[in-house]
Amino acid sequence: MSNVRLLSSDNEEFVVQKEVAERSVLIKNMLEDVGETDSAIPLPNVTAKVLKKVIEWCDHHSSDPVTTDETERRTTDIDEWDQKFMEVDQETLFDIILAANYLDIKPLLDVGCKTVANMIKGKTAEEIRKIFNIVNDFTPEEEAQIRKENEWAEDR
Amino acid sequence: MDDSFEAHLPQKQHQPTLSLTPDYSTQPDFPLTCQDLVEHIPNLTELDNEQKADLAFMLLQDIPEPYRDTVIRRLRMNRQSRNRLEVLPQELIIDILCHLNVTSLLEVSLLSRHWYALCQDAVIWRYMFEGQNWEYNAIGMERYLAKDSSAHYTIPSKQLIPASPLLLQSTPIVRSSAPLYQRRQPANNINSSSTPTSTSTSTINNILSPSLLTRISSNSASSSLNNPFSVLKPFQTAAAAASSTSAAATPLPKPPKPRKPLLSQKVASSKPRSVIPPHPGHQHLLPHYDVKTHTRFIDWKSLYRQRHKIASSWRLGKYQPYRFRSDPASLRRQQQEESGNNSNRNSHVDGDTTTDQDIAMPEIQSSYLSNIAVPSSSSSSELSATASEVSPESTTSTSSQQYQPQPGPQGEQQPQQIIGQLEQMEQRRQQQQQRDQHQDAVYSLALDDAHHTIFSASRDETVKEWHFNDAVATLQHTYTDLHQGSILCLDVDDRYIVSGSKDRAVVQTDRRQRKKLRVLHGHQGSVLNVVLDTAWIYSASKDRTINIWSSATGELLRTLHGHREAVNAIKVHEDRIVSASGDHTIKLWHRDTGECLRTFMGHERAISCLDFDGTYIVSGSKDKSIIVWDLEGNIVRKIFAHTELVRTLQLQQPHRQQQPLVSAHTNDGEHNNNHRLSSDALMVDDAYRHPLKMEPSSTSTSRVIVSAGYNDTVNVWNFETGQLLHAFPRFYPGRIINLRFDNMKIVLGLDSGDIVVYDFAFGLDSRFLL
Repeated sequence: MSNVRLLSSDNEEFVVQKEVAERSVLIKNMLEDVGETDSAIPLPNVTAKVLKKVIEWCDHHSSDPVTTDETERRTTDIDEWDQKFMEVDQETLFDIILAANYLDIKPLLDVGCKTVANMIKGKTAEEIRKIFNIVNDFTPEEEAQIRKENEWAEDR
Repeated sequence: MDDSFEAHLPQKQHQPTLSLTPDYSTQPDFPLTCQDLVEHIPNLTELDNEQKADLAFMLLQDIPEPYRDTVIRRLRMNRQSRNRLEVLPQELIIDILCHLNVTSLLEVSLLSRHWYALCQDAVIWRYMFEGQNWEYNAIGMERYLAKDSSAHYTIPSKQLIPASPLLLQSTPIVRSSAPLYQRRQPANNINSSSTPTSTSTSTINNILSPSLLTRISSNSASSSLNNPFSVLKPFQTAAAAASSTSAAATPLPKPPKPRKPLLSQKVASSKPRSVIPPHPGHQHLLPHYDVKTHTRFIDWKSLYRQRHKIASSWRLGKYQPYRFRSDPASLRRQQQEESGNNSNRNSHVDGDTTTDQDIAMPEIQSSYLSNIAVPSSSSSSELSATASEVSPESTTSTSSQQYQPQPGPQGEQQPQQIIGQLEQMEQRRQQQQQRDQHQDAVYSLALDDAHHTIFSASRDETVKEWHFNDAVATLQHTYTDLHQGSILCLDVDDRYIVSGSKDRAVVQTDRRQRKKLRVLHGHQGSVLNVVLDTAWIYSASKDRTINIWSSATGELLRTLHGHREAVNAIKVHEDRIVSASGDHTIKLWHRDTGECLRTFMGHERAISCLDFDGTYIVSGSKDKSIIVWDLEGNIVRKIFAHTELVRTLQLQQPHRQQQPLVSAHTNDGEHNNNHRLSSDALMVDDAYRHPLKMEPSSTSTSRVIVSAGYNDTVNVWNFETGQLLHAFPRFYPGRIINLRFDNMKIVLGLDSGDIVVYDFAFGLDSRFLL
C-alpha cells in the first residue's frame, strides 16, 4: 500500500496510507486527478492539530464500508469509539467538523454534527446559550411570543 | 486615560468609519504605523472601544493580505458575539439542527434572532417530516407549484417561478429568514395596502439572508462614529425597524386569524374577489406562498406542524364529525323550517347553517357553525378552541340535544347582504346534497387520499364518487348502470373501480372515463368482497370461492376452493391472499399456485372482516373479538373488542414509500419499509410478549386498528400493544356497515344511507398531506 504525504496549513507533514487518506473524497479526487506523485498534498484549511485528529479517525475507520445508508444517518446514535474520539473541547470539535466538511469526509461530518446535536438535545434555551456562548437578543415579549408560537409541539 | 497615548492618536476628525465590512478600499491612510502605536500603549485593558478599534485596524493594515482576510472572515463568522458555534457555515449548522428533535429545535429557535431564522429553514423541517415517516402528496405539491391559472391564489403568472423543489433547497435561508415581526402583522394586512415601511422592511428581510442583512445594516449604521463595532447591531436595527413598522401591532393585539371555512374553496373562489381567499388552519399570512414575491413554495414547517396536529388529534381523540346526508326525518324538518322561515332572514341563516352539518350535530358544532356565519361576533381564537375541543366527552355530554338544531346565538345580529348571498349558496348546496345522497344503506367505501376522494357503494345499486376536503363533500359522479342489485363491495386504484354485487357480477369501471369497462361473470352467489391489486382482481363470494381475474383482460385466472361457508372478506399483499369466512376460519393462499398455505383457527363464530399487511392478519368476528395473527398461524393478540359482532375493521398499513417525485430522500421510505417487514417477521414471537419495536424517530406514528360493530362505538386500538385508545360514539342513527380510514379521517358507511366522516384534520390545511 502506497503512502500519501499531506501538508497541514502550518506546514507540518503527515505520511498516511493511501487507503486512509482516501476516506477524504477531496484527497481521493485529487489523487485521481494528479495520479502518482511524490509531492505532498497541501491542505491550507487544516491545521496540524486538527489534521492529526482527522487522520486518527480515518485510520480507525479505514476499513468501514462506504455507506449511503440514510437510516444510519438519521439515527443520533454514535458508536463508542467515535464518542470517545469526540470528547474534545468545543473549538477542536468545530475545527474537526470544518475539516471534515472541507476534506469531504461525510461520516466524520455526520458524527461531528450528531455530537453537537446531542449537546443541544434536551436542554433549555438558557442552557444552550450558556454552552455555546450565545447572546439572547430577544426582548422578553418576543421570547414569550415565540414560546407561544411553539406551543403546537406540546401535546395538549 | 493616558495623556501621552492620546497625544499620539490620530485626531478625532480623522477618524475612519471603521466597520468590519469586507470593503477596505475606502479606508483612509493612517498617519501612524503599527509600531508607533504599540510603543505608546501602556496597558491594553485601559483602552476604550474606540481606541481598541483603531488599534485593531492598524494592526490589520500592517499584516499581509491573506492573514487579514482570514481575520476578517473569522470576524464575520463571529459577527453577533463570540459565539463559537457560529464559526460553522450555515449549511453545517442546518445539518446539525436536522439531527435534533422538534422539541429541541423549537428550543433552539428561542436562542436568538439569528437562531430563530435558522430554525425556520425548510430543509430542516422537511428532514424532520420525512423522519416521522409521514407521507405527503407529492403529486399535489407538484401541481400546486406548477399551477398558474386555476389556482386559488391570484398570482401574476409571469412572476411565477417555475416549479422546482430544488429551487427551494438551494436557497433555504432566503425564504426562512422571514422575520419574527412579520408574523405579528395582522393577517388581513395582505388585503389592505400595508404601510410603506413595513412593506420595504419585510421585503428586504424576505430577500436577504441574515448575513447579507447584517452587512447592509452595519454599513448603514457605520456612520455612527462612536461605535465602530456596529456590526453587532444589525438585528437591533432590524428590531427597531420592526417595532416601528409593527407599531400598530403593539402591544401585540391578536392578529385576526383566517376564517374557518364556511364554504368550500370552490365556492369561495367563485366569488369575484380581488383578494386571496383565506385558507383555514394556519397563522401565517399564506401557507406555501410568498405574498411579496408572488412565489409558490412548499412550507415544510407548516406541513410538519399541520401533520403534527393531526397526529395529536388522533392521539387525543379530537375530531369533527360530519355526514354527507340527512335522514329523511331531518330533511322534512329542514324543509319545514325553510318554508316557515322564509320571511325571516335571520333565523333562516340559523336553520341553514345548522343544517350544513345536517342537523344531527351536538351543540358545540352548531355554535361553531353559527360563528362561521357571523365571523365578527366572536374572536376566532375562541372559535378554534371551541371547535378543536370536540372530543367524545364533550359531545356525549350534549348528546341529549342531538338531532335538535341549535340556533346560533349571534345569528340575529348580522343581517348583512353578504350573509344573504352565502345563505343562498349554502341553500343551493344543501339542496344539491339532498339530491346527491344515497337512497339506501351504504355497504362499502373506498378512499383515495391523494385526491381527497371517497367512493361509496350502496344498496341503492349505485356507486358514488365524492370529493371531501375542508369539511365539504361534493358529489363528483354517480355510477348508476353498474349492477342490477345491491352493490356490496368496492375497491379502487388510480385507473379502475371494481365493484361486486348481489347480482353475482364483478364490474370493472374506468375511473377516468367514468365508464363501465367489463362485467366479470363466474360467481354463483353474491360477491361479498373485491380487491383490486394492479394486474389482478380478487373477488370473494357467498358461493364459498375466491376468484382471481386479470384486470387487463377480465379473464378468470383461478378459483380458490376450500372454505365451507361464504367468504366474507379477502385481503391481498403481493402474492399472498388471506380470506375470512363464515366457517370460522381464515385461509392464507398463494396467488400463483392457488395453494392454500395455512388455515387459521381461533375464532368461535363467523369472521366478518379482516385486514392484512403482509406480516400480520387482523380479523374481526361475530364472537365479538379481534384477533391479530402472524403468518405462522399464531395468535399474537386477542382483543375482546366490542359488545357485539365486529362488523368492520381496518389496520393502518406500514409506512408507504414516497413517490419518487419531489423527494431527494426517496429511498429512505422504501428502506424503512423493507427493514421493518423483515425485522417484524423475525420477532413475531417476541411480539406476543412485548410491544412491537418501533423505529426510534417515529414516536407519534404507532399504527392503529379501527373497528366498529353495528350499534357499537368506533374503537381505535394500538396495534402494537392492543390497548384501546379511543371509543368514539356514533352521532347518527343507523348501523355501521363499513369503515375506512386514512391519516386524516375515519369514514363510516351506515345502513341509513349516510356517510359519516370523523375528521381529524379539522380546520387544518391538509392539501399536501396524505
